[in-house]
Amino acid sequence: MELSKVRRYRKRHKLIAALFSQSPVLIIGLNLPFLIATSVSLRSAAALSLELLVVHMGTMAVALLAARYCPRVVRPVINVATSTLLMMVARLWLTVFFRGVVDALGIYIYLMAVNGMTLTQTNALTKDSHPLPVLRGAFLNVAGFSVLMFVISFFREYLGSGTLWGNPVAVFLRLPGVLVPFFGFIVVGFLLAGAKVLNKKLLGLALRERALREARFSIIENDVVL
Amino acid sequence: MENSFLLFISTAIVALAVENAVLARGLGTDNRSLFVKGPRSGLLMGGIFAWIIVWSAFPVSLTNYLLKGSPYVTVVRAPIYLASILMVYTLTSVLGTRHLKNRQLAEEIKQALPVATFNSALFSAFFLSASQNFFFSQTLGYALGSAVGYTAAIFIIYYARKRLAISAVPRAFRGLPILLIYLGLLSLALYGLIGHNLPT
Repeated sequence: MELSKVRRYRKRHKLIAALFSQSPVLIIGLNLPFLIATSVSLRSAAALSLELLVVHMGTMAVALLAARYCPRVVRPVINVATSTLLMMVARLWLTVFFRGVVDALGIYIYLMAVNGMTLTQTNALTKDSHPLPVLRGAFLNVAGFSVLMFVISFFREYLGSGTLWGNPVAVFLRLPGVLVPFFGFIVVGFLLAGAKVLNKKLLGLALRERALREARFSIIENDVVL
Repeated sequence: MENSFLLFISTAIVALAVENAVLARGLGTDNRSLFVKGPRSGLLMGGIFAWIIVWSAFPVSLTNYLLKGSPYVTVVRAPIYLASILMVYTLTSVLGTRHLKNRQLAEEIKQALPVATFNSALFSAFFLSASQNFFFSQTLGYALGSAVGYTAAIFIIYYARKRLAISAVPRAFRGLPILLIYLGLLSLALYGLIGHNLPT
């Protein structure tokens, strides 16, 4: 196998892994309420993704400082207070661009302050956590969540409302029931199962690559010995 | 007085069954709270949730009353709710660790307290009661009903996991995927029973 191909595969694999196979949404089921109940339109997906970006990245940055300088007991309080303040800022900002959507989302806009992904990852930080890898991982996790929101919202809006981004489109079959939370549970369950299968295939590919690399080096060693 | 009591009971039943945070809205469906180790852990999680939400309902209800008709209500409400919850959380954390004689229970409460408190189901109860302009007795009833409904959902999920673990489930669906599909079917049954749009 050529080295350039191996390098390209590894780069792609890292990105895919961060977005899907190592995504806390798919692996340990964080932030499920948003995927289940609010993924009913592309606009909602956009609004919540932007809000999560502001809340998650800001809280992670503050949590890195808190992990270094504050006692462990106080950190959950600091993290939640920061995420609430950032949620308010994000809500005000989103009201300018997505006013109708912010009103339609109702309480879910406020609940982003206590989203599971932010609280779990901020509470897991330690004094020795390096800022750059943590923030890069956080950004990729937000990107993974956004991709999932958009994918689910696309299908639910198309089949449920017969629109895309609020614009009516031709649809061969309308199913208003897909807009209700029960369908969100079921579709997220199938998505998690699909992510497990994808993880298994990626792991299989990674193991195959390692085996090929080891076989190649052992052949070279044999030639040198001979 | 009688009217307040009836409002309290009716709102509690609505929050417990009809508008159950977990089954009707998918709130609190976090891996940390979904996968309790046993009935004792589930009861502890539900008990802490009930303690925090009921005591926080007092300052939250006062806030709703004072902010009624204010133009800044949507901006100011969230941090005041959070401050109320943090106040109860801090008092519980301090009193629990210092005054409880059973050290094992105190340690378990210390571990479960952040998970049970900073929970979308808890926060949503207060925002929903504010959006529906509830009185004090209704806010308290909604809080108590949400707590009982959340505890019931934890137990439903625990016993469902036990049954699903011994069922012939395809490998890809084992664990969280099949549990979410199960909750979806329960939610469908609830939707069939209620048949109305939930308030947001």
